[in-house]
Amino acid sequence: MADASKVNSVAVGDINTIITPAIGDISKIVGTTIPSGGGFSTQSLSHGTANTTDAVYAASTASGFQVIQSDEWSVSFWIKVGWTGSLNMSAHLIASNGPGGVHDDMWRVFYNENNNRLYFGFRSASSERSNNFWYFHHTGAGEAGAQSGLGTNYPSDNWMSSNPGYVNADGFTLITITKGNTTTGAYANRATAANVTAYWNAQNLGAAYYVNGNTNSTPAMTSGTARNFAIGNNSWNYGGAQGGDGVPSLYDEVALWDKELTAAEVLEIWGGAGVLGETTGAPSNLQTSSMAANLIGYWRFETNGTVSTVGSATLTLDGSSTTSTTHA
Amino acid sequence: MDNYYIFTTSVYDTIDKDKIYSREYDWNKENVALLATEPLTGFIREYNNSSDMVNYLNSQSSWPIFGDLRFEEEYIPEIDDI
Repeated sequence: MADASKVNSVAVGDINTIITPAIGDISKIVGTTIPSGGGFSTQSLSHGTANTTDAVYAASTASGFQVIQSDEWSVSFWIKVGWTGSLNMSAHLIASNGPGGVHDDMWRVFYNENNNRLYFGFRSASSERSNNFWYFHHTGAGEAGAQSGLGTNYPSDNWMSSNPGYVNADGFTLITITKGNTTTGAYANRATAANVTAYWNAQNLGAAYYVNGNTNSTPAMTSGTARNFAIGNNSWNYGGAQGGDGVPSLYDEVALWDKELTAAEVLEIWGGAGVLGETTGAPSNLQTSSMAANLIGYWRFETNGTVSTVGSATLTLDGSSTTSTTHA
Repeated sequence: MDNYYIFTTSVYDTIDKDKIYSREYDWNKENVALLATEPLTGFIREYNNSSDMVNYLNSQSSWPIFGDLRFEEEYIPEIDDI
């Protein structure tokens, strides 16, 4: 297939991935219609960095968004990091919460740059919270440092544009967090978080870390609360302090799922080989995946921009946040 | 825990790390803002809640901008001080 100069009578929907040449190198597509919202992945979400009015957020009353601590769910997204040095902060990648403020039915995925940790946390009150994290400078085989390709020299090997770890041909990493239906509570140090798993591309990042679990009660989230949703904002939500700031970064194919995705399903999202360090993965239309029925939110950032192709949460882009092929 | 402090880094380095729950550096790593598990002495500033300290830090250009829920990311000497 790599040597084919012409492909006739093949439906675009049947083409999963074109890695090389880049889409821009294809001069002509004759006699076909690209389906709305599908087919190609050329645009991504570029989060603005200029000021506090830069934000990316949505609100949804869809019941599928109202996940709680005892639900199965997963979130997957492609990210190309654009930050160039020490952020000395936490970059919030994906966050969701209720309208009541910081303690209202919140979950978030964020990179704590100064401690080099990828967090998955949720809460229902100031004293009802849970955090799991994976620290990338962990040196064990099969652990985050090895699985991500970031390396284990800390902090020089922290996640940044000059040290992106294992990425695909376009410089993107697929991050997937999966959660089972066990209520996340207090874990002992270095215990395997049996129901929370993080993947870098198609690689399991290993056991999650969690400390001081005994100081916090188990989250008790409410399934009936409408949720806000934010991508790439500095803080955990749009309305919170500094909610509009972001760091240079591109996001693509942001997807919420109503199930705990399996390793095989994460590999399907990655779309490449499942070998440590390989780079052949690429975004594809997840509505054609074997898990399509489990999508509860999906933003492709293609010709239909910010409209979720699943559910009812249309993103609002404030300030200099935009859809683009390059980050700020 | 309501023991929020700002220390110079040189003083911070002398503190028993078992008393530190969370800590953040300024851009030049000359000062440390922290949440302690018990009252401490030798600080530059002290606060009894996170919001007041974060408001102060966010007014100072020598510190990064902190959002909500900062000082909940727990400091763990065995993995953060390597």
